[in-house]
Amino acid sequence: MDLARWRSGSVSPVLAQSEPPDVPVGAEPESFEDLYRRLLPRVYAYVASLLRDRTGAEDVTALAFERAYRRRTSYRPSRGTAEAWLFGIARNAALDELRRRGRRATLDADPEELAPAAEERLELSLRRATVRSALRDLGTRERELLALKFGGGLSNAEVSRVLGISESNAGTLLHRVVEKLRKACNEQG
Amino acid sequence: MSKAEDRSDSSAERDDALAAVEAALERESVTEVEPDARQRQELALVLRDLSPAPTARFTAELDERVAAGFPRRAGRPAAPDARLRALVPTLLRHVSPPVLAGAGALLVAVAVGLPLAVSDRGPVSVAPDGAGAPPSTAAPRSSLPEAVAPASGEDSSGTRAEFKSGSAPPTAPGESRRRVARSASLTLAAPDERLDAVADGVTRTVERRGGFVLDSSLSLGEDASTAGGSFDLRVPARRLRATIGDLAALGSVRARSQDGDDVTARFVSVEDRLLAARAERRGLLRRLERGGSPDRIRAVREQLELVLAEVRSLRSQLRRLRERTTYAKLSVTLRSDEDAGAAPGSTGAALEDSLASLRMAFNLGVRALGVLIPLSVLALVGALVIGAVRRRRRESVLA
Repeated sequence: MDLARWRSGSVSPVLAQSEPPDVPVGAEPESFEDLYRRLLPRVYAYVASLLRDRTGAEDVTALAFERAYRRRTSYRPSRGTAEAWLFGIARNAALDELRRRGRRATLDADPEELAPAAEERLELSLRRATVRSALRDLGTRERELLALKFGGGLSNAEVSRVLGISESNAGTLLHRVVEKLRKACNEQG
Repeated sequence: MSKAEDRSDSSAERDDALAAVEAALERESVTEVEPDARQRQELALVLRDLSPAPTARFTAELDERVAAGFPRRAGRPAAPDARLRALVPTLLRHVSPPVLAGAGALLVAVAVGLPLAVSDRGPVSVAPDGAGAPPSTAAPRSSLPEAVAPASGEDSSGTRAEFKSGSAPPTAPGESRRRVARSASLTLAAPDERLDAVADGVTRTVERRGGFVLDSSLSLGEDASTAGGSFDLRVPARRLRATIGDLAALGSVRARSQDGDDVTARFVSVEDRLLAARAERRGLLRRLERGGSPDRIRAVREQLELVLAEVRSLRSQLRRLRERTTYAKLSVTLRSDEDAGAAPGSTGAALEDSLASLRMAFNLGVRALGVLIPLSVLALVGALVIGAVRRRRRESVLA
């Protein structure tokens, strides 16, 4: 199957506008496959942070990309970047999954922790442990905000698009959460 | 320090903090020297490093599915709503938005305009053929169309068909219980050479609408000041509006008026009196059957004749009232006027027709907009509400 372009067949002007900001004007539009490769780790990181379950995160991530693929013609660059669009789809899929499970996305359970690499320096390990511990005290919305920003690697404008709030509001919320986390780390450290 | 200054300071502080975070993420290292900013940058890098990564197995599986274009799994056909959702972007892709909007507006216009057109029946264009036949002067009552013939106490054969006591008198189709005698007048102007044709058109229009000409006169001649005519017409009351519309299309309308006289009370009163008179007549007939002395019989007969005369009179009044309400009185005055309009078939008439069509299309468009705009607003509000509710429901798991 030809996945060379988001819209199979010809390259539409809309697609030309859908390039990520760092793609120069006039360059080849990004294909869906390229977009997938670029965003898979980030979408997964965000979904996994939200679901706190590796298997569920894989299912939801795959579902999000499948939905995005099937709805790729509905993407309008004027409404935001491809990242914001895709993360919006992933968010809806993740929230639906949480609702389907009938459970609340609380922080009761620890986030899945990756074993630190053997060569990791002690200081870094300690810092990570402190942050993980401080993350437990955050609310789900605050955690989601951090997941979008640091797991998803979205800009504040994209975060605001995904959450349906203003960019200024997104910046303020993000600043508050970072400060809250920083203070919590300081208290624990 | 004022609140505004406070806000400005905190806003600047926030912007600086966020800028430090962005710088750390971009350069993947701590760049600040100020302790708090440095801490924020370290935190940002740790948070990014803590993000879970997909396994190689999952990535490989998903790579395959993406490369294959997410084939549907066997036995899992696309859901109907998914197919429907897929149809919308396809439509949007192949049909331009203005065309879609136009098609939508057209649909609404048809939906709105058609019932209006059907209810009005619109101005029916009657092209007078100018045969020169003088308009009929008066139509005999027997020529009334059956469907709208006034109901009366007597049927067509002349035998009496009395209303049964207590039952409602028959009414003409479309009549409501309220009885209104309608009348209207219309002054038409037409060029001298078309007067004859227009007069013929008046007669034919009225007959086609189920009415008749009670009286008419037409004067044609060299002197334009005396040329003209008048028509005393009767048309079924429920078709009065449509008939006026048809007649207005025959020439140039100079004046138009309409009037109504509510005769419900009079009608009901006559009806009641008729019922009472009939009851009295039945009583007298029974007394007559019982017999008695010749003087008594004579007295009953005299009384019966009086009652019968009253019944006849009341029945006649009732018939007249019914005719007045069933048929509307329409007076048409025809005037000679050289500026009234072009002859049918001429370029001027064609222009007039095209202008009328444009006017009608415009009116239709305005009516359609009158429906379309509130519907659009409602749809927009509905979509916003539904979207907000869905979002709230979805996000309830984050609470």
